[in-house]
Amino acid sequence: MLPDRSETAVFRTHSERETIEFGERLGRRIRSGMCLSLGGGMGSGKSVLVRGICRGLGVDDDVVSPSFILCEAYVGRLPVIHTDFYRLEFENEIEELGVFDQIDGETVVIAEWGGRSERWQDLADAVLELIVIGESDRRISVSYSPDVAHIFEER
Amino acid sequence: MRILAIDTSHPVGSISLTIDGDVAGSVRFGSAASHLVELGVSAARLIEDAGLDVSRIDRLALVTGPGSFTGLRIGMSYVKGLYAAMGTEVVTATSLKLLARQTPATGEVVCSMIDARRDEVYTAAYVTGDGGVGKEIVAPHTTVPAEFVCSLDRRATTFVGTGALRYREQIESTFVGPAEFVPEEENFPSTPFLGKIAGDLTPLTKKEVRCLEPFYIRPSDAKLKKIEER
Repeated sequence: MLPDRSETAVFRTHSERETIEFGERLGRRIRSGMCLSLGGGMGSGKSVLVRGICRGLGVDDDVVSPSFILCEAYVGRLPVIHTDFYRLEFENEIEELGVFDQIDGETVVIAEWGGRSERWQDLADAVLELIVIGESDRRISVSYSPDVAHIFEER
Repeated sequence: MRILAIDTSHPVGSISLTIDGDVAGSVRFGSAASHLVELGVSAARLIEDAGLDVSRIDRLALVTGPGSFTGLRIGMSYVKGLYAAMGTEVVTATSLKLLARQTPATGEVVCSMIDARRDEVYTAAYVTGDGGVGKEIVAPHTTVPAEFVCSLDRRATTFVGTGALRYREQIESTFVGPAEFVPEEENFPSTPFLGKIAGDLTPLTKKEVRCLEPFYIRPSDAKLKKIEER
């Protein structure tokens, strides 16, 4: 069954540090494998957000932008795959990268430019869109499945 | 003939060494991500335990897919690497056909079904003949199990594979003919079996090995959406 992303939320961050901290809070609340799709233009902070999510998931390694390396695997509390569809042209390249295989319920699979693939977008438990609204201000709109609501609902 | 048979198409992979049709050793290994680590180590161990070295292997038999994309590429790279280094003969079998052939079917049809995740299966069906599996009656494709099973006729059918295992209830409730299933552990491609039949398969030519690619059934050539710079 495809996730039903019927819930929405909007967040604001005012600096790179706040974006990392926001990601870290999300990462800390992730309890099991899931599929995340990140959108937003160049320099909107997608990789920064992923760095925070990974930190929250207990990843100690440096998290780098996968625009050129296409896919990077990390180990934290849960296995993490960080990928980027920016340089890919066809849907089957994503398939060949093996990232669809990684949506296995145990791995947190995060794709930057995830919206480029309709299939990826369909499979995502949450879609996060980063919008630049000032030099360091970002609006982060999220649509998510009720199954992962605990990650996005601030208490 | 000494044959190394390799399957990395499933989360549980396996490798077997057969010598003149007898299984000299067989290893199964864990998750798709670990195939990369375990395939080479397992191969080395099997060869060493048999008192051989890799130059004494006559033939490599590989399962080409469909299955895990990551796993398939690992097996494929391994075999191509050995071929490049040693010139060892290569034969191949698809996971669907192998499953059908290894199944001692009692019905008229064998339907292989491999779990493709996301509620889909890779499937193909074959009629059973005197000497085992015969003509392919449904070509390999990806489908939703219940929908596909409805399209089959009432001939007695043996369902095999991880998809048959996973969707057994759906198959039983939608299939109109008599359905049979195999014991749980027999739903994976068997490399001991592949090793036994590999001696009768025709080795690929140099060009065929060079052009060999994993058998992905899900080739979606859809172009990704254009990137809008902001």
